Amino acid sequence: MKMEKTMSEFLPTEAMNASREVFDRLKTLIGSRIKGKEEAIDSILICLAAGGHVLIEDLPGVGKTTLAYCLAQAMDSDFKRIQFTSDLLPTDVTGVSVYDEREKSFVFKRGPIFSNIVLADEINRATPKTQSSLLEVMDHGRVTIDGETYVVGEPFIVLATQNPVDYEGTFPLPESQMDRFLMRLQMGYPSVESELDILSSENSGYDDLQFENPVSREEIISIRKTVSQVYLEKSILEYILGIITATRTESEFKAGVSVRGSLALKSAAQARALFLGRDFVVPEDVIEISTSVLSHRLNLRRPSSDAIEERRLVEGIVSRILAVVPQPK
Amino acid sequence: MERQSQRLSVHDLYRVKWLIGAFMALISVGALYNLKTHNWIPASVTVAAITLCVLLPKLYANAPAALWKIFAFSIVPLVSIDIFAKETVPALLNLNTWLILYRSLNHQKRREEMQLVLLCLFLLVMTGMLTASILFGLQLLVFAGLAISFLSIGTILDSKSAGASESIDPSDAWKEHSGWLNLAGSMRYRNVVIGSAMFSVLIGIAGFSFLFIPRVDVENKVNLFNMKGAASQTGFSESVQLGEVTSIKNDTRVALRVDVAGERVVPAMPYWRMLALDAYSNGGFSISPSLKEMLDDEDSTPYRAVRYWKDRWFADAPSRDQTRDRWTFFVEPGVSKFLPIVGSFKQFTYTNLNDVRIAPQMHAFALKETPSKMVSYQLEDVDFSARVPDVPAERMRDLSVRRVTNRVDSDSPEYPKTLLELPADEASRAYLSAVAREITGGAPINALEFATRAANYLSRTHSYSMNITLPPVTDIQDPVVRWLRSDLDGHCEFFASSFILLARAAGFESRVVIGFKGGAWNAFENYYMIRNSDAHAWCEIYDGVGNWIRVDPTPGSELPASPGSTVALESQIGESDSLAYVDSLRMLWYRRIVNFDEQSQKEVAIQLKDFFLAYMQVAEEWAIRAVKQIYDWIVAPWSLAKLFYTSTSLFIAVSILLFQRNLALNYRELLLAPFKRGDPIRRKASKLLAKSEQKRRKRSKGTPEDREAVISELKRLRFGRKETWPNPRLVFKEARRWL
Repeated sequence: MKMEKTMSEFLPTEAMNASREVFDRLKTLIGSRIKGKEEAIDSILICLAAGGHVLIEDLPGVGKTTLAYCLAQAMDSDFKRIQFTSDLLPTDVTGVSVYDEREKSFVFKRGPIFSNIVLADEINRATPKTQSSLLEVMDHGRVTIDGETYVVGEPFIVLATQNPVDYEGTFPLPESQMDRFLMRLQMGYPSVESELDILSSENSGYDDLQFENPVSREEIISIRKTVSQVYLEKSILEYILGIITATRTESEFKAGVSVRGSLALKSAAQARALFLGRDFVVPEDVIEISTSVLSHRLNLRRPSSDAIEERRLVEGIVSRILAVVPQPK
Repeated sequence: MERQSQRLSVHDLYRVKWLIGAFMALISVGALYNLKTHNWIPASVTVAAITLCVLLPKLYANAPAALWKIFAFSIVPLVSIDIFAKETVPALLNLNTWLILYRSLNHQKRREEMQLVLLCLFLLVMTGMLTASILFGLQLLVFAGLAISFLSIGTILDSKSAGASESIDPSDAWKEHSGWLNLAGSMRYRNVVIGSAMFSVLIGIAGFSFLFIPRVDVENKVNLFNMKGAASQTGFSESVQLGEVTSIKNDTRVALRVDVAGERVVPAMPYWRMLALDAYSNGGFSISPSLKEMLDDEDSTPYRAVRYWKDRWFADAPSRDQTRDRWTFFVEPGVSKFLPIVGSFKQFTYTNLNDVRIAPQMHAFALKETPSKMVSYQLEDVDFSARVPDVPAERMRDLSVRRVTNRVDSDSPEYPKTLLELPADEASRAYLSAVAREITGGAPINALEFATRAANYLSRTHSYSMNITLPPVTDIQDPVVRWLRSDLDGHCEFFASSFILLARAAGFESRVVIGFKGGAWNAFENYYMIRNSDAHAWCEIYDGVGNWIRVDPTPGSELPASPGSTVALESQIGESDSLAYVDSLRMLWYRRIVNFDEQSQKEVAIQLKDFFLAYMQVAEEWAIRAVKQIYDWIVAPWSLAKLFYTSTSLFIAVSILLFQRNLALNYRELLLAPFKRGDPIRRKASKLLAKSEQKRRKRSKGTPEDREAVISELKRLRFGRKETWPNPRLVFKEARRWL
């Protein structure tokens, strides 16, 4: 009786089962092509469920694009790839109004951003002007051009990649842009067995990739709704706040994590809980995702010249904060 | 001190630690054999059991855990046997022995290791205190080495097992055991040797310093407050040369503290009288030999005091007369063996009267020797008038006539003739009698009158000064007379000596008195602080009718035999600076440790006992009455209503007890819930989760599926939405089964 009465407030079992089924399917589909990268796949799926964008930072050729493409295919959704270069213009991303002779009026030509999954390759090669054309769309899922607002695809996820080693002639992403990515992930090299697997498989490309029974857009949208219903006990919220406050008081950081960052930490924790088939968040969820959610939002007071080194330092401090902030008992 | 070896595994270290713990226990329990009268059964059982375990570790490792539990419980009856025998010390030793046996064979956690060390140390020190044998030192030495290595191995074990040393499974550790010799063979001895060498060096240094550092009087050196260290404070002995008293004028240390209790008025300028000197020779006064001998005599104990003073009482506890005022004196170590007093009194209280000597003729009180620690005594009903009673010399003669007559020393006069002794050279005597005649004017006058005139004469002709030069020797050799004849300035000793010689020349018996004058009032704790710089010399002149009258000829003093002005205690203006405050702390300490009044303590104890007994009796009566009522109720005839009442009550009681089974929380948790923060169910789930986390670490083997299910249910209880909770009672029940 009680269950029915409060149905609207909390997660129904059907939604739980549905989301579990969707996660399983996505995982199997992507896992069939991407070998030995379960962690990266899990993180990307958590991001997808939380409705966030992902910044993949790694060396070229470790499967960033393949992963993004597989995700797009597994979701039965539009996929566009934008290769960011220094001469890329904002209109190349968002689209442009051109004069139509026949209609005697300006007609909006949609750019590649009007898609469900956008792979922004080597995002740091574009100028800040172009980079910031992504700000609005990443936040609200809309583009405003010439006073007209256009809604991009639903779901909408930006997978950006950048190369941390080859940084000559690049424009580092502004903090406001960094803040809009839910997670920053590393792919890393695959293990020996996985790489052997990749080598021995006949087809490792993704041009002919066609998954059977892909996940529909509606299913993704409903998962996103489900994630927001995952329960957070008061002590968990306090724990999240404790971690965020610790980054703000840490003297090594130039500034702490923004409010958007704490919201991101919350929704990512909820998504992880749902991904693991729980309708409530436990402290481990927060701990597990904290590094990838927080570290790209934090800058050292004394920046290091090497991007990899800086990332390592920031992640070290974040894990120290995690060790210090008392977990809910 | 590290006894680590790379080749020793965690389990090896665990066993080494266990072995050292067993040796520690053997050493301390073995010390019990030093006690001749102690019951050896517990010690022998313990030694046998530990030795057996050391020799047959396999047997020990395979012993069921229940055995230890049974033993732990059996300690209670074992010890109660001793307690019923009403011997505390053996009971304590036996309890300690049984506990050591238990703890040495069962120690896993850090606190249990500490327990073992402390238990062994306690037993060792106890036996050491009871026997005080040299063997104790040796045992303690060996024990120290063992304990240090025991604790350091514990630390190494902790770091080597990454903090999980407490969860090492003993059965695993013993499984690998293949004899102590094998273990010893696989040890690397370099660290052991280094450790032992360091320990031996430590022992060597300690031994060297023990043998060669000069012995010090600890009691004297380690003084709680006297950080300056006590330099010798001479100035008050049986003989005083001119200038000796004044030589300590620059010493501002407090020599004497006087606590005035129950007193409304005090003398405006108190004189703290210490000793009187009669014999004179060439500028120096001393106690005449016969009196000095008297002071050392056995007959001069305070127990004989009634021969000299009929109304005076010497005791080791204060009198019960609450109307009397009490002056408590605290004399610093090394000041003098003579005890300062303020005047005549009714009672003298000192804890050890055997150490006190009295000199009745001089009205002085002394200890056998100069004390090396603080001395305290109390005077009651002190008389402020500037006179002390005379004790005729004849009484002394009665007592020590033999010794005095045995002395063949006709050159120096004997007491009381010494009271009239004058300088040896004729010129001095002639000058003195001339001056005396000038003062008296040729007519016979009484002592008081003479004293007044002589004091006035002296202050007319001389001024007070601390810087003095003596006139050169002419026809007069005596230094005091030379000074008297000049118009030079002088200090108290010159004035006092001159006065004495003048009085004697005029035929009055007189003597020099040494002590302190004045003193500062400490406003923090209301007591007198008398410093060494307050040292003073003055005179006493005999009035011919049984009293010695105080005369202070030094300029600026009261006139002789003036009424002795007093001042109200409240109006005393004292020192209240920080130094005085520090000194007042010392006074507080003295008041606390010096307790003359054991009687009041006894009274309080008796009152407490009476109170307790009375209430015990009331409680006992109540209990008996209650039991009797219940009994009467049971044996009374049973009616249907009574039967119904009884069964209903029983039913309610049982159901309350059983009801708990249907609750998620037990009664204790329910009771405590309002006083704690947060949801009690969540808190309990969290507690169980933490426990399960511990268990998981302990047993890293694969956990069964349903265990995981329970843990996820617990997590739901802890973090999940309340509406989705499973039945907490069932989850807790299940969890307790698995944990």
